[in-house]
Amino acid sequence: MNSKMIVGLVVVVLLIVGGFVLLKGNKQSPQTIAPSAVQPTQQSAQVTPVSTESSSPSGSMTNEKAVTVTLTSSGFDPATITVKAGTKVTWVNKSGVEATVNSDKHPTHLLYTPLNLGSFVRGASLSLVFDKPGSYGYHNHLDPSQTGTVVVE
Amino acid sequence: MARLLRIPKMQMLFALSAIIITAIIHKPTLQVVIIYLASILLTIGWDYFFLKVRRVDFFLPSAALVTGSIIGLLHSPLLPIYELFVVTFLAMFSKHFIKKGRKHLFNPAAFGLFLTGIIFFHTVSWWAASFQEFKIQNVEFIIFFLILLLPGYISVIKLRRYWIIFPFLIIYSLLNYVLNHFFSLFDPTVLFFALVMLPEPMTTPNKSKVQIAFGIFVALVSLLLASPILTTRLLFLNSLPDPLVTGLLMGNLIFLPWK
Repeated sequence: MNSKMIVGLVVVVLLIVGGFVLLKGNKQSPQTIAPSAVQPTQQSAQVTPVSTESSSPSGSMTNEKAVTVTLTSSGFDPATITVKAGTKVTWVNKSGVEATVNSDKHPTHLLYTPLNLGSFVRGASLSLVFDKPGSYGYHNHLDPSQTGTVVVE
Repeated sequence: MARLLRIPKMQMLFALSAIIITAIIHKPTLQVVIIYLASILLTIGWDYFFLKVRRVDFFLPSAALVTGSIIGLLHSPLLPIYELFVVTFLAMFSKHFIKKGRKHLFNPAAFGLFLTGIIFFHTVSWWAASFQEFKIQNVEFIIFFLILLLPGYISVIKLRRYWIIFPFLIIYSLLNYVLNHFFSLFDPTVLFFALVMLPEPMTTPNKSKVQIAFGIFVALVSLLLASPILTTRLLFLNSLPDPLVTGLLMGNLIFLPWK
C-alpha cells in the first residue's frame, strides 16, 4: 500500500467519523436561539428576551443582581465587568450577525465550561449566574477578536 | 506568472488571499482591508530591512508575503496599528536571526504573534479563521469552508506534510472530544492552524516518523496549555497568548535536532 493510498484512506476515515459526529452533534446541540425563544440551555444558563436592565460601567463594581453586556460589531460592551457572586449576567446580541459566548481559551473553551453558552442570533440573549469568585474570560467563537471578562468577587 | 504559480509559497499566498476575501465578505469593513495590506507591506519592509542589515541581496519575498498574510489573518483588526509594527518586526527578526544553519528555528508568524501577545497582554485573535463553520444548510458557509481548506492542497498534496497534519488533527480532535465533548476536526481555527502554520517545512522535521511525533506533540501540548488541569496549578500559563501557537513554538524548539 503506497503513501497516497494511506493518505486517501486516512482522509476517508476522518470524513466518515467527522461527518458522523457532526450529524450527531447537530441533533443533540441546543438550537441557535431566536429572539422570541425562552428555554433553558445548560446548568444555570438561561435564554431570555432582550432585557431592559442597565449595564454596569466598564470594569466598575456593581451591586445589582443582574447585569447586561451588549455585543455590538465592535465587541462586548462593557468588555470587563465586576460583579458579586450570585449575579446573573445577560449577553444581548446587537452585532447584526450570529455570535456565541464561549469560555477562553479559543478554540477549546475549557477554562470555565459553564460559560460555553452557545450561539445566539441578533436580538437574542444568553444568561449565566456566576456563583463562585474568580475571573472568567470569554469570547465570541465566530470572531475571537471580541473578548470579555467577568470578575466575580 | 505561470512559473510563479508553480512555487508552493506563491500558491499558499493565493490560498490565503482567497481566505481574506471571504473574511472581507463576511466582515466588510475598511479596517480589515487596511490591516491586512499593512501587515503584508510591513512584513516585506522588515524583511528588506534585515536583508540590508545582513548585506544579502534582495530577492522575491515570497516567504515574507506568506508570513504577512498569516499575521494579517490572525492579528485582530481592533488592536492599535503600532502592535502590527511589533508583530511583523518580531516575525522577520526571528526569521533572519534565530536560526540554525540556514534554517530559522521558529515559525515566524507564530513567533511574532506569541511575543506580541505577551508584551501587550492579549491573545491571538484568529478573526479570519473562525467564522467558516461547516453549515450544510448554508451554501455561503460551505463555500467559505471549502476555501479555508485550499491551503491543504499545498501542504498535503504538494509539500506532503500529511505525516504532521493528520496525526495532529486526529489526536487533537479525539482528545478535545473526550475533554470537552466538542469534535474540533472541522473547527476553522484548528484547520487553518493545521494546514497553514503547523507544517511549515523550514521549522519542522523531515522524516515521517519524527513528523508524526511532532504533530502529536503539538496536539498534546496545545490541549494541555488550554486545559484547567495545568492552568489552575501553574497560573503563569494563563498569560500565554494562545495554546496552539505556544504548542507550535515549543514543538519547533524541542524537535530542532531532527530538522
